[in-house]
Amino acid sequence: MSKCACKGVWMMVAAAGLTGLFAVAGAGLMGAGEATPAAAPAATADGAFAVDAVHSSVFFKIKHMNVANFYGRFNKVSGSFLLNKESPESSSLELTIDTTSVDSNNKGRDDHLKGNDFFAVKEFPTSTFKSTAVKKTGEGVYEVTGDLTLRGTTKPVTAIVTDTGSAAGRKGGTVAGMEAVVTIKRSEFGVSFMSGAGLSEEVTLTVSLEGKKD
Amino acid sequence: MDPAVLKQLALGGGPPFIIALVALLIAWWKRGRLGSIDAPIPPSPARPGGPLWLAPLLLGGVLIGMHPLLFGKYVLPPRAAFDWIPIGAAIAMVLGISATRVRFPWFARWAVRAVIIAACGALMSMNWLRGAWGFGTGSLWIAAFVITTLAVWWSFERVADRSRGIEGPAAALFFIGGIMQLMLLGFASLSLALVAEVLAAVLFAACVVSLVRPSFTLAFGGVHVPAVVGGMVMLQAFAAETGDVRLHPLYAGLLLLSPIASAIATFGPLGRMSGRRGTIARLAIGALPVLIAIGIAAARFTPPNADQSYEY
Repeated sequence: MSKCACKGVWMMVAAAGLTGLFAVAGAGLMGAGEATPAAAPAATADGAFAVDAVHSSVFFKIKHMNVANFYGRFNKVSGSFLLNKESPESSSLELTIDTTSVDSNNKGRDDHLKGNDFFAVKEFPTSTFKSTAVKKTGEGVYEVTGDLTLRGTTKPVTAIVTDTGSAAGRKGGTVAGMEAVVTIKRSEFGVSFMSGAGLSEEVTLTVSLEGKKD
Repeated sequence: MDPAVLKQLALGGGPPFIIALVALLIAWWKRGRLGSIDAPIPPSPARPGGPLWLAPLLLGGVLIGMHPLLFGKYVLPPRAAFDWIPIGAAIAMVLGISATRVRFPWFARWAVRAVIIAACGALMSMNWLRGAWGFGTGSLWIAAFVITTLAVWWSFERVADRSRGIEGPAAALFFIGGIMQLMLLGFASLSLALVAEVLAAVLFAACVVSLVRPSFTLAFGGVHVPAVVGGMVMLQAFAAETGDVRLHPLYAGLLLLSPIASAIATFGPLGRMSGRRGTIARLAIGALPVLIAIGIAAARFTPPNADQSYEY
């Protein structure tokens, strides 16, 4: 056999072996780096309410086939908020949404949403919002501007936030609620899968939070 | 299938195929007539005639050009692993075009390729390295990516160097087309399927051209883009997706086996077999692993009317 052919055969044997190794290594690593647990609640600002994830909801609305609005949710959220009626500029809202907790009531679709076409949760396991300015626009209604980070892209957005009430906590302290609604253009955040071709470009996020403080 | 998905697939396959077919036919019409499918495979790589620069230009250029139409504007600087794919294609295209002009010693060629692939892998993996993978797991993935992509690259090049006509583009088409089919069947990622589809459409056009102009070849640079982009898509589909949509290791193994099988077929008695019988036998060996993978995936595919099924 010629020298060249010998080298080629050797390389092929090595390549075939490595192919098997890749498949086996991949199978072994399948469990590695799975869903990242929800972020711990952010340290609350002075007087802010820590988000009670059990009584809070995060929904997204997208139009399917230009026919019907579809609603999905994220099951894990953490953060803090403070709506100050007397001094709105001192209000704040900080949220961390665990994108691995996306739930659309269909396992196949959930897997797809977690994948590269949408949230790419292995690369970007969280989405965050941090307020930068709060303006009171009516009784119990605020315009909250802040930085939304989704799929690694940060853009300023403005949410309409409604103060939904407050009360004494059952175990002491105070509980308060708020609801924020914001509509984004998803392609601006790199989520352009089938934008305008079956799924709307605009997505509305509704975040209803209950928070508590001692 | 969802009409919206069909529309996307038509956009991803139609224009690249037509552009590549017209361009390759015009460029190879006069030069490609020489030679024949019945000609024996040359014993060692020899620089063929013809516009070799066109294949890498089409494979890279069409993919980069189609990106905004299929996926929206480029994300620069890239943030997600997917955003690096057009950059990888551009690098491979430049390398491919330069390879049609100059061929460096083998160790220099492979050293440069290894560095480029490692860089592509590391850049694609930045978010995973920071989060889900960590350094140890990430290093394993990147090492596996580099080794397997080099193996695929070598296999493509071996087939393209040792044959004229359909065998070179077909070997790449089996691999890239297989990725596309498996991405679609598993609903893993339409985005990744579309990337593979664009390349598959250009490679399919190359196969058609090679049938009418048997001297057509992907030797000397034509396989660089399919090897690099195919590897990048595999890395993302196999390593980065989650749940049931992740490319199953069995499919990944069979896909990677296809180009290696095509290369193995160029050795020994089979490699020396000339004429159509030899060509068909070598093509069948390369196609077999992909057909097995697609067959298994199709058998496992959940029909759209089943409980908890999902269409886009």
